Amino acid sequence: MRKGIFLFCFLLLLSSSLFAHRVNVFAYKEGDKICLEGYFSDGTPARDSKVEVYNQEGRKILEGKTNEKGEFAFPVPQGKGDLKIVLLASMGHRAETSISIGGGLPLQTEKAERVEAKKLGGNEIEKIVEVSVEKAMKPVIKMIEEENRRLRLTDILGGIGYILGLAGVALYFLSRGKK
Amino acid sequence: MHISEGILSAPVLLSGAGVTMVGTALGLRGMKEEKIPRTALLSSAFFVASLVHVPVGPSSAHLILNGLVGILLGWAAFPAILLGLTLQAALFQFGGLTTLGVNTMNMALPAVICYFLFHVWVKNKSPALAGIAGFLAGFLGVLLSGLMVALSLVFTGEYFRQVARLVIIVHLPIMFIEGVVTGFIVVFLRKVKPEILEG
Repeated sequence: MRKGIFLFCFLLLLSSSLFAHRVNVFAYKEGDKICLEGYFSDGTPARDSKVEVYNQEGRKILEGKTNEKGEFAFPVPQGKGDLKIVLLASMGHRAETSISIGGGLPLQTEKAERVEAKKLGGNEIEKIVEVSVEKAMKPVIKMIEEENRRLRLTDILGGIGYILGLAGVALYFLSRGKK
Repeated sequence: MHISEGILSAPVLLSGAGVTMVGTALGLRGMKEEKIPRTALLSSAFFVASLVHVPVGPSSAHLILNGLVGILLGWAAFPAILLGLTLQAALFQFGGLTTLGVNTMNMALPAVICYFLFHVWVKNKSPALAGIAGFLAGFLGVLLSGLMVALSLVFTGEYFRQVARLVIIVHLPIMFIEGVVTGFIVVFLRKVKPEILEG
């Protein structure tokens, strides 16, 4: 039994720096395009994966493949509502996300920004904004990532607890049945 | 190896669930009291093993340990793996609840096959032979699982040979690692706790 526990701790140690295995897809709007990135949870891009885009009514409107970096971009389609984006990576991995288009507010603010930007000197301002936003977002993103990681360890221990607990319950009932 | 939700068609899901139900019933029926702690231990090992990642070129794969689970548990590999996969789906979003049946079948059936092929050999008097049997069980467990994943995906329109080749290439290092790990564990168990291999 002690050896078993030893083996167990060894596996736990190995896993502490490692990640869950699933594919994620992340979509965002950039100008008049919708960009998306697919990646496995350990950070490797989901390259050469099939992308399917469905409109609000559930009809497939677009199909494509991600590039070497796991990215894919397509022009914002006509219409309103939520687009469903499905990423089919190899070996049965699948992820989906949705992004809303044609809603009044986001587009309008974007236009307003454009006008402003032109007045103030075009692309440079846009770049400056982009860089500073990225800078400001970094600690937030990092925090979220760390949070995810910590949750994972409790999940691992929780799962083991479930299994051992179930075994305990089974043994309890079996030993009661004997008496 | 975990097939996500929303990929497979209903007939594939149902037949996977059916096989898993039969296997689990067989495993539970044959499970004696003294086998429960062992089943729980291997179920947790299986649960944790899939968090151990091995980067392979563009993709990455993780340990499965179904060969080890198989030779130590026999049919009880079904309930052990089903439980491990349920928790992985609930806690890590590996695979999914609807694909639980298919995923369990894909990993537990090779485990049971490894049991029938190798459980006599891991008890062999010669430690070298037992170690080799362990290696083969670990290796074959992953290989067969890969083939079963490819087979499950055939019905979604993916070509068997293409998927099978991909799955197997990605898991080639895993097969060797699991072979070595399983081989060592078998040799080790024979020394410190030979009765565990009798089951």
